[in-house]
Amino acid sequence: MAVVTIEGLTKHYGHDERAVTALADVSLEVPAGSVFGLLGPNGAGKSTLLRILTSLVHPTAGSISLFGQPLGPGPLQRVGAFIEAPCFYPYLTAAQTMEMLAITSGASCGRSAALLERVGLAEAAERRVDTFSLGMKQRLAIAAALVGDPELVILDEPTNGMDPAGIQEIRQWVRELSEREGRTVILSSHLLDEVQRVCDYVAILSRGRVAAQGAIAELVGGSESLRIEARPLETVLELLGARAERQGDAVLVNVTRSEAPSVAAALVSAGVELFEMRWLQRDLEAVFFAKTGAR
Amino acid sequence: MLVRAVRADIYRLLRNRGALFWGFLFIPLVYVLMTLVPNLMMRGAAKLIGGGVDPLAQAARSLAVAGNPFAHLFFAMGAASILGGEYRFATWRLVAPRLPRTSTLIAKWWVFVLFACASLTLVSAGTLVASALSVLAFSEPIRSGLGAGAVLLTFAVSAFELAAFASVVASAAILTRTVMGAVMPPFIFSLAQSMLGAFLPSLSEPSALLGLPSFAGDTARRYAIPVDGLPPVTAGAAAVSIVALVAWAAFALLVAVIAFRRQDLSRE
Repeated sequence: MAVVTIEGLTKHYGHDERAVTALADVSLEVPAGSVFGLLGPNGAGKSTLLRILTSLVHPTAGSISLFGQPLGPGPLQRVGAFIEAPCFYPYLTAAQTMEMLAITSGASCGRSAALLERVGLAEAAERRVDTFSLGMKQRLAIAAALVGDPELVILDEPTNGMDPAGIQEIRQWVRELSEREGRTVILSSHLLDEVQRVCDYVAILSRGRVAAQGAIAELVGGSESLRIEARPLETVLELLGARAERQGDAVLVNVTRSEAPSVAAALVSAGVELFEMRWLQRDLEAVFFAKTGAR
Repeated sequence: MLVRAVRADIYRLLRNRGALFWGFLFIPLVYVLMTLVPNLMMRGAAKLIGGGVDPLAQAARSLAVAGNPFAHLFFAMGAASILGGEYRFATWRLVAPRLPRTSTLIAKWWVFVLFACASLTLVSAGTLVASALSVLAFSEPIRSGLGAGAVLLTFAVSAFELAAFASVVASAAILTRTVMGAVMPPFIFSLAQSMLGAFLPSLSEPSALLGLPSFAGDTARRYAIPVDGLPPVTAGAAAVSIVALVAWAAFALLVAVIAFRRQDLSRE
């Protein structure tokens, strides 16, 4: 079942010929209980999409349903979000921020201390937020997103400004939110490696459009290719035709595993000297560059 | 959800000491000091010519602070901290997804009106204490010529005037998306009304001016507590004035709500 269903979502900023298209005909589904990655370079429309999902920005066209209902205050009660940079009231402490958000959400204030403990801010709970480092604010923003025990958690680039240990922690929390607690998480990032490590599904956004989407295992797994080091390469390219592509001193061939023995036999019988044949698992980076045309 | 929004705004405001002091405590403090000091210094002379003190009337007249442009500057600071603070700190992202926008804005407006009324209460209570002190200090007789109804009506008119002012601040905050933009246009509007009254004293009565909140407030207060040397205000003019204040409050708030509901919070 999809927790979020987006159909034909379009957002223009401005009017007439000066209008900027932030999103163009975006459609996607976020499966329940999954970690869904929104991947794209800066300006791809990730934050605009998340702002529309949280009703901060109004779409120009298209529809969104959350938990099977049209986007609105009702279903948004079941959502916790951390959008873009962490911004707080500078005159409140971390504990007061959590209490204020609990009041706003109609939630119990009792969980606030546990949430601060969970994100490693228990000792800084009574400090004013304006004395926090960026990393501490990121942690507080994650805790704030969890106030109200949301079923859908939206995290927009949550590891920005964090040290490597903090990044590892956050990735672990994200997986826990999904695996142990059964929440659905939408994670926006421009870090390919992060999305590949943490997410189950991904939508790749490029210039406001969905360039690709699906299960990461399928996007990556369906793209393996056979790397052949042989001599002369010209003969290899000639024999394999359009399926082969030269890459430096080797050739990359798009074939299935069952075809590999016959490829090897054909090359040997044509007098090609084979030095190495190995399978290359294409990672998300390769998929991303292939789909977005970025370099 | 409105109750949640009101509670959250009160929670924040009580911890925002700067906004609390400058927006809601500074005016009572200044007003009471400015009343107390001359009162104590000049009362001795006044006693020689007789008269006495009417603490209730003084307290009720002090509520005219709700129409004072100088006071409006500080009330605007208080209102802007509530209504424009989310733009300043980019914190709409924390609040807006959790509450419907209309409730959020009306809650902010309501919290300002609540604290402004508390501020008015402090002003009148402070004036009452100042009057009582001069009674004690100079053993003056206490006059009593004002009923509780007149005091309550004056308070209500002043509250309506500040509610109308809050609605103007709300519109300015939403349309300019800045705290400064929330403070300055309403203050200049208030100042312009005051200057109009000062430069055109002969026009201070025409019913057309009752459409302006400052004139409407003064007129309705003068109905409740007549001012020596000025012609009495009719009940009809007072009613028109109150309707004008309510209309300003409702219309400006409606503009703010409509603009806010349509607004893209793409940075905040």
